Amino acid sequence: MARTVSRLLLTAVALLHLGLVEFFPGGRNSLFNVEAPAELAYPTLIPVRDALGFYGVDGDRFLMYRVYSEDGAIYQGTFPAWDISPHLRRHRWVMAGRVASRADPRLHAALVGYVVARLPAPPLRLELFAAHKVWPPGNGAATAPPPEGGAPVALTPLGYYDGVQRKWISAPGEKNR
Amino acid sequence: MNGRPRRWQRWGMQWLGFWFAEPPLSQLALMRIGTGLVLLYVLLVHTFDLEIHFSSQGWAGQASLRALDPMAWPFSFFDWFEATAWLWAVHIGAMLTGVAFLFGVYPTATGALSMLFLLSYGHRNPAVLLELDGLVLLGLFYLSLTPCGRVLSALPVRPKGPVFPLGLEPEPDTLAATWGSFPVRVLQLHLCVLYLLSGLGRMSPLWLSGAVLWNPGMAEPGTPIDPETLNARPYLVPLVTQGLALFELFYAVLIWFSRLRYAMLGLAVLAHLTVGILWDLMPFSLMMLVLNLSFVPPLHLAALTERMAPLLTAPWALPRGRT
Repeated sequence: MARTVSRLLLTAVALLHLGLVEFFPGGRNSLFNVEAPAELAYPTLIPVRDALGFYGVDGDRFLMYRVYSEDGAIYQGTFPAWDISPHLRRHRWVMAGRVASRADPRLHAALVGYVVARLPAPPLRLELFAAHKVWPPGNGAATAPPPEGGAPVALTPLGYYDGVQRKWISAPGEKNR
Repeated sequence: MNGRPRRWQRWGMQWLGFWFAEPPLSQLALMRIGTGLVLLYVLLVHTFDLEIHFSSQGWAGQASLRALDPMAWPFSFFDWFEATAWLWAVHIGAMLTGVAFLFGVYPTATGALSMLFLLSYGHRNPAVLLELDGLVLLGLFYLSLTPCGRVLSALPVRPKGPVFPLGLEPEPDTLAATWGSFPVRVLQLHLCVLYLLSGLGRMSPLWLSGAVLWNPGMAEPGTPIDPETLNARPYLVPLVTQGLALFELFYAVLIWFSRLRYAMLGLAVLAHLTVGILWDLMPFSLMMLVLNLSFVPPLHLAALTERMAPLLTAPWALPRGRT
């Protein structure tokens, strides 16, 4: 009798666990906009939303920076860099780029500080942009590939690093958290 | 007096019989090996950017990364000390624990410890978390609750209690024999719900029309699924998108029919390998196939491993007392 009761309780716990991990991935149900209590959010672990693995690996959002050096040269780069291998490593950087392109001045300041510290010489100015590959124009569904050279990139200024004052200045209107 | 059980008793026995049965030791061992290999690959790739992503001098400040974490108690071994040497010590410890889990050395403990290590990476820098991490955690969680180290294991000292050499089935009346299958059942249901919710999420015009494949982030020039390939073979687009959506939607139901099981598993192999090759998502696809092993009939896997055993020279692969 005790064994039967314990097994019934186990199955009830299992169903509760399944309900939590499936309907509150990461402690939150985005469909109904409901959050699980913080104490129960932990068992949901890191959510798995897509059975095929597509979630978050598309590199359409990233950061672009433009550096104005003291010798007058201007060069730009992207975060992340695209020539990264193996693919799993690249996917992590793609996710980092997506997260970093959000409106988060504190994250941007930290990132810019990291980039500046690794430049061969302190820059006069470093501009940071949130980049978004756009295809198709507008909101219509596409039935043709992007033009030669890839999809156009829309840039949103996030702010700039002032090399003289050595401080990060957010763009006007950027959200503060 | 009629000795037949009543209807509710029969239902109760069938309900408990569904959850508790003989543990599929060979099936669990193969899943443990697959999960261990994927885990080690994940940790190996972490090595390339360990300091950039997880040290306090990385690309993102710790305060901003902490704000990204949705969990109430973001546990991480990396938070104990800030020294770079500690960072590498934790990473090497994680890899050694993964190796131990792979070879079946106290898999309950090493599986649980591997989970803590993976959570440490995730909570230290949530910005680089992928669904693959959640999937490996899922596998580790369920497998660490099973006797997955009883066969195909390198453990030199056998644990106390009954030992089941390769090819022999455990006594059905022991608690270990009935407990071992319970996490597998939960894993099977978890997979079914995952496929179903994922399939429902694809019921959008953007996916069903195939327009999502033209997303510049997904159709990169030079990859197998680049825009030129899609433009040259337009019939591929609905075949891929609608085929994947239908597979996910019906998997949760059809996998439970014994006559359709191998067909669904074959479709799972086709679907995941297609996605893995075309979109460079092989680690995720392989991990899903490892978890799909939970649906392969245990007797078939046990027979397969028994046939493979003479091919292996390691002592643990050979059944005791067999000629």
